[in-house]
Amino acid sequence: MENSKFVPKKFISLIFFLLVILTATHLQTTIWFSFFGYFPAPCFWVPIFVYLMMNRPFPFNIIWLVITFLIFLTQTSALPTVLFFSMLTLWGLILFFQKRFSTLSMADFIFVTSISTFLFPIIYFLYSLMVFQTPHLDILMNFISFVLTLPVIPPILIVLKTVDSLLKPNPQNDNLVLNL
Amino acid sequence: MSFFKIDVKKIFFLGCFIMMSVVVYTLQQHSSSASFPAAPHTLVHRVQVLYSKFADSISNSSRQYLDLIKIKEKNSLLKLENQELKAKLQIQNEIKAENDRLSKLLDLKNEHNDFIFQAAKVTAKDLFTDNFSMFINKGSDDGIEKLSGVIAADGVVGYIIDVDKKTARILLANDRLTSIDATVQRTRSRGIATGYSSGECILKYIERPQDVSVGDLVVTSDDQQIFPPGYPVGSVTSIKVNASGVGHYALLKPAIDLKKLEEVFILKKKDNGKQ
Repeated sequence: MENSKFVPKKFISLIFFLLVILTATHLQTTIWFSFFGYFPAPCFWVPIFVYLMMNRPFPFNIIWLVITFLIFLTQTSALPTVLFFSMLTLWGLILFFQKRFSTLSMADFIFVTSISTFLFPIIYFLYSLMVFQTPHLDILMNFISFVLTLPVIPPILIVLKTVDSLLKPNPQNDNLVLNL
Repeated sequence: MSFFKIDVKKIFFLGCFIMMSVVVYTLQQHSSSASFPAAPHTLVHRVQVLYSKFADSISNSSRQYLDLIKIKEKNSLLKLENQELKAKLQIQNEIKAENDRLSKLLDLKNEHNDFIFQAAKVTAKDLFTDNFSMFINKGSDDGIEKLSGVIAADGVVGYIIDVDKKTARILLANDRLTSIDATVQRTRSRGIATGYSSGECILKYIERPQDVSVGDLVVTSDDQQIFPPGYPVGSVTSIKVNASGVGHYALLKPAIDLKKLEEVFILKKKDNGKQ
């Protein structure tokens, strides 16, 4: 009986997070573009990615990484290998920080997400060095994008946390504590 | 004697009565006369003037106040109207700009008869800041094919790399993965134009680098199928030596601002047998 309740919840959770990633990427590419044109958009995907990497046990976080990577491929011209290794490195970085926090407060989450947002273009650039003869990092555009991402982290975390607590079979196992 | 007994009081009152009657009569007769003593009249008149002025001032100020309220209302209405007109003007300007752009594109279409032109609107940009691709609102349902050239009125935009039923993805000329066969217009030195940053491209593998100089226009080469020959790619801004120290590459300023694109043309070479 208990199991039969879990399956739809897990399924709904899967659908929900898929929709969230799709919405975040389209918000960044299509909706933002229709309002602000080519002005750099906030990285809506980073808080979601960080949340999934921190709150899903191994190997589910890697499965989510692959799902996210595949969704990204439909929205970017980035070289798949470079993008995948960049995302793997980001995942390692998130794990590195996660292990240093016993419980994750909102401030810690903002810190990890900010670091991830800041470092992702640099990681991508470093991997690009191996592939391209003339790699380029647009510092100003990436910085604007980073700054714009900061205010969207808390609301995204609150939404994800709330929905996740409703859909998780056992909320006691959750290692993320909201401490506003 | 009693006959001569005069009641002085009665006579006085009678006299007063007669005098009063005469005064009233005279007043009636000479009311407009300046010679008539006018002190009481003047006093009353002045008081009346004062009251009148007072009433007038109250009436004026209350009318002004009421007018002020009306003016405020009118002002806010006019402000609204002004904003509406400004918005309409903005829309008109936008329509005019769009009209100009489309006219240019139409001219372009008439210039290159060996290509089929299909207009499309840009709908989305790349997910990452350092990659340059964009989505358009035309796909395989509209006959769009992979590796079709994409141009705008003033220069090369890129080419199609992904086609869906309703959308297609363009790899822009400034993306690092782009490769466009290009020629320096002045010297006919050939090279490969590829992307570098949001506002720069590179011309690499230049045939005769010594023949290239700053300011040269780089155009699409003659013997390719996806772009019309001699179409502008960009102009040379500087010439640099490769990191390995062998060979040169030229930095190009794209012929069009790839960050301001709204409409583009997808090209398809006409089949001589069919068209």
